[in-house]
Amino acid sequence: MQPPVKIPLQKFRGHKSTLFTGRPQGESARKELKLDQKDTSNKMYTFIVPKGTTSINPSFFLGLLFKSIKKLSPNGFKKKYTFEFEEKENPEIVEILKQNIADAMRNAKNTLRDDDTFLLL
Amino acid sequence: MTFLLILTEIKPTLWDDLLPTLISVTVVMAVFLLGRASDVSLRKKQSKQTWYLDVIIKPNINYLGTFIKEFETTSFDIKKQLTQNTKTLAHEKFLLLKAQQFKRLSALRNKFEFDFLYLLRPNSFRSVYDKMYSLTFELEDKLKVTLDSGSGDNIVEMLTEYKINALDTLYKPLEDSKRFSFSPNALKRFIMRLRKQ
Repeated sequence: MQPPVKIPLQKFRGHKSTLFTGRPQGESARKELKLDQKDTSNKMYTFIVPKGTTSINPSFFLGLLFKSIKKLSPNGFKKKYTFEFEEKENPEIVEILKQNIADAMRNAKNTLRDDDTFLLL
Repeated sequence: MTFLLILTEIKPTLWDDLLPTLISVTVVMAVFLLGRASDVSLRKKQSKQTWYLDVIIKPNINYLGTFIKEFETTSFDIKKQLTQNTKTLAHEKFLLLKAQQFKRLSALRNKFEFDFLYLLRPNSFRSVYDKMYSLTFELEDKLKVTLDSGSGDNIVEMLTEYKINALDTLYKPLEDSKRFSFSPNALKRFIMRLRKQ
């Protein structure tokens, strides 16, 4: 099995910023990274969260990845895409960032549940 | 033969008499049915509005005020902590402090989602939920960005703007029925005018 292809997120964090924020910014990063094509490829990917990040807001995460989660289902998404953190000295920060991602995943799942309800109606 | 002659003679007269009556009856029935349909739809809308107001808004509107107040207090506290420690703490420690503080804002937003926003999720108020959801996430983004930059400016302005937009959004379902209400009397007047022409 091939190792996952790395996708650095550094350039999408914004100048002098320690945050990933904004749905439009996430959507524009998605376009630039051609995630629509990556979703349908056979490869696995790892997003590299740069050192010095203090928050990944759900707005950015959903702009970047909601389409993929919808297309692949949350479980399929987790198998295909993973996250790696450059931060090594501050495990507590990594823990907070993991919570940010879990929070955003919960939001994505809620939105998907609503979409399913609409289909049933 | 005689019968046919009679029919041809009578028919036009009968038709002339019946046609306007038939048209009037049809119009009156159409107006009545449309009026009934409009009444039913208006009543449904009004009961939905009453439910929205009594079950969702009135008992829970305090959550909005509490959320804004807590967001304000927390944002100013974060600003204070970051300003105080920006030069005293080592870079790594300062980043950890920032991450911990931003987590506080996320936790407050999460709580507000559970306490209030989820109440708006039923399909009838879906557009309200979507708008409130994006307004709340935007507010969290804006506050974190200003605190991250070290300025912490415009916190009150951001919260005021959020409050105005949130209240506008929450009042939307109460305005809609006025905009789309249907008056049977107006339709009657319109038909009478057509008949006169």
